[in-house]
Amino acid sequence: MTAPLPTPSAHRLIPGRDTPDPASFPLARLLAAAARIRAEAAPATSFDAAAHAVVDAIWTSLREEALAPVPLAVSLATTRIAPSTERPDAATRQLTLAASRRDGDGTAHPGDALAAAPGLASLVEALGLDESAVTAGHPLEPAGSRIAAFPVLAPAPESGPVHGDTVGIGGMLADGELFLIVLAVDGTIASGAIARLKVVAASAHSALLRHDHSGAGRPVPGRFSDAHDEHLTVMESMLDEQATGFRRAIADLRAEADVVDTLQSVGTRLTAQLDLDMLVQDATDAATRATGAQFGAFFYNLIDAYGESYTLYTLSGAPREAFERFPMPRNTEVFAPTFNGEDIVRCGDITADPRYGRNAPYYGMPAGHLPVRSYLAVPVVSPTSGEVLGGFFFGHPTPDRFTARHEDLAAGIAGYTAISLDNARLYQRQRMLATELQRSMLPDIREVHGFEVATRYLPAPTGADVGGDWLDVIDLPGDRTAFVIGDVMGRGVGAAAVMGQVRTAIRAYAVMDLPPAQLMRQVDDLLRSMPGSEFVTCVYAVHHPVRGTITYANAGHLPPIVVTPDGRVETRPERLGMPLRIGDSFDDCEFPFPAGSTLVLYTDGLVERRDRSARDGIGHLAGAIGVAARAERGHVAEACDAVIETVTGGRFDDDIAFLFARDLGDVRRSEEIALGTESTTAALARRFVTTILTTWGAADLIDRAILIATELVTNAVRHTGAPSRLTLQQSGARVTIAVADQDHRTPHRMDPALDDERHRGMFLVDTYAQRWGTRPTPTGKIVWAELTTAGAPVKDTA
Amino acid sequence: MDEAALLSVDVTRSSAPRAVIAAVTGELDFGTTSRLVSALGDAPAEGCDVILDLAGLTFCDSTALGTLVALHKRVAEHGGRLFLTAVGRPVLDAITVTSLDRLLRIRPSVQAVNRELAA
Repeated sequence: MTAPLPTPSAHRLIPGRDTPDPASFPLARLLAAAARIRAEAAPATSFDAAAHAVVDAIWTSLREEALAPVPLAVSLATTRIAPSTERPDAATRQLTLAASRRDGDGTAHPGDALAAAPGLASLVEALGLDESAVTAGHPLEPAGSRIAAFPVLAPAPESGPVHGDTVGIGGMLADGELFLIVLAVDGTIASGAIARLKVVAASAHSALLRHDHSGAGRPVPGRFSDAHDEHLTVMESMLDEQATGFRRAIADLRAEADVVDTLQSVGTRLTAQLDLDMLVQDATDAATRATGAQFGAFFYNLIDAYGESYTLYTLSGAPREAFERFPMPRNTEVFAPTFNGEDIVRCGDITADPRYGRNAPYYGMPAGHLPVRSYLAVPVVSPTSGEVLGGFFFGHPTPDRFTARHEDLAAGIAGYTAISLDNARLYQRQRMLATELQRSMLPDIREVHGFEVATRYLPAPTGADVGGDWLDVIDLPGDRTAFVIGDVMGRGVGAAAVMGQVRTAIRAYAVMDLPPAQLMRQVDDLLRSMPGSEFVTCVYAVHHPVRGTITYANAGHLPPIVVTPDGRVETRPERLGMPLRIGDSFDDCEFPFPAGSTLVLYTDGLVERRDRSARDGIGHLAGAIGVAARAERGHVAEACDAVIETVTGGRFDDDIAFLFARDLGDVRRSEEIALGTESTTAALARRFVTTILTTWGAADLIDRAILIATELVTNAVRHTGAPSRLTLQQSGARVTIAVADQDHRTPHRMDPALDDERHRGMFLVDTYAQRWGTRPTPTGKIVWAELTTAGAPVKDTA
Repeated sequence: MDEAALLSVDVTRSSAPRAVIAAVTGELDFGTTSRLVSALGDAPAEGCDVILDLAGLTFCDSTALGTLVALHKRVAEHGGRLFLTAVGRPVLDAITVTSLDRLLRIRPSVQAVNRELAA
């Protein structure tokens, strides 16, 4: 089945037989013709002259206006009694041509009288005369009207150059004889227009009555006034009929306009609606209103995350409780045409329908169901896939409430609903895809050592396109943390894909422990090797807890904001740099970041708006961030929401990525020892570790820490034979053991066989440490391992 | 730092059952395992059982674990068995996480080993 068209069927706007056809002999034109006939025939001095005047007037007035159909021939004939040639005592009636006009020379044509002959029978019939009395030449007495207009069967082609319909008008003259005017036109004459020609007949009649047809003297006055009465009656009834017709036509057109209006406004509203829940409710309300139903329901099908179809419904005109206790309607004979998307069902009384009441357990409507007699159900079918999206059901407790017009309206709304549902589902799918893609690419930042971190990603409220904003927090060895924010220019899946790759690349380079500027150069190189032309702005900032600094590189991104522990808010706009893929030189910058400071990174969506410059936005942000930086521990997330609300006022045009990191001000300290290559080196390292961890209140780590330190130092001594340096570092509960040596080869964890006599060193480190890793140094490498103490770290008293 | 202060090995021999008992005290690591090996001398190659009493051992690194594996193999090669007794917590942890408890014979005490050998 195809989707119902959202517009009313075109044929309804074309007037049918019962409506006047203004294009075929409009009344105004015929009235003008009638007036002209009387005016032109008035000065005539004989019946023949009057007949000529009547024919001329009809001819001229109907040809004058360039309206179809155009008269091709007009002839006027009258009957006369003549003695019968066969029986002298009898008489017969003959038809004689009195006047004629036709295309061409405009003179009478012998064929014209013949052409009029078929019209006589029609005239006789129309006036209700006895046909035998006509033929026999008996006096005639009309049964009703003295004038008539009627269609005439088209004459044979040889009788004249006639191409279209022929119509006859005529009546009875003062002497009891008949006059017949035959009008041939070049097109078709609507049946309604033929009736209107009575106006011309009446006018011709009264014009001819003024003159003596019999040749016996003056016209009969009584007949003359009768004719006038009749003329007036015809005019009045004609006008009345026309007025009624026009009123009906206006009512019809208005109703059609209402349908179009309703559909137009419902359609506009529905097709603009992308929210599925609002859409289905709106459609149900509109359709229920338009059909005049007591209540309406829309059942629609959705697909869940597992690809299973399920059905939901909306109601209009009835509370949800009215249906809650009933099961979902099944695909019974009554419902099948709707649920299968086959056809509209409109029923004056559904309870009398043969399909009704045939299924267990209810055999009809369940007890307590709202009463339904009038029933209308319209399927909603996707115009793109042909899939049945749902169905509208309308009910009314009284029978015969739904008309063809209601059906048209419901079908139209169903059509719009189908398009809108398609759109909404497509939009939802795309939006879901985009959000899903983005979510999968954004990091899950749970806990960052030594920091209280809050991140926010707010997609732009409009548009399904995913943005290219991202943020990241990367835990680096040596208790350092990298904070990253960036923005790939452009939107859509392309930008998101670039974002994902850049983010991953930065993570990879970060693990290699590249300094910020060098990292930017690497990412820039990578971007230039990728297809596409999106440029990228980015800040990569590394926090060094022991030094109390942040080292960063900024590739064209908005400046980081720092709040110092004493509450000073500073933006760091120095050396903004060029965006990646545009600039080629990136610099390392450093600023102090004492314990307790706060770092804020953000994308332009937060500070830039159509009605506000980024500069003003940053000012707003700097003002709001001081409050958040003072938020109580454990409440930074709410504080960040408040900052975003304050800065945007709830309005933003672009995606917002926002990163807030407050240093917890944990104890941070570090101790180190230089080690030689003696056989007692590892033992010395163990003494050092034991002493320091005891001082730091992390004695619970000693057993594992001395084994790790031994393994790392042993590797350094064994593989380089050169002095190394052991560093112990504490940041809050985290303790890092690092050994720097002069060798570039990096150790790996091995899984030795049970009776293997070697290769258990890094296996033990890997087992005992929370994490471990290596990073290159200019002269060799550092191998580090982290442990977390269960005991509360004692405060640094140094 | 004095190497000798890090590790001492006290070796005694018992005739019945025929075994070499070495009481190991201190820390076994890269720098000290050679001292254990030389203290045992040829005992592992004599076909007798070797009992390492580790009650006094406070530390054992991966190098030392490797030495214990080598010792185990050498003793077995000559028809003897290696026993570890009275293994302290940190050392036992290192042995367990490297799965060496599946290879090495670990007993609660020297007496327990003697009873086992006499049986």
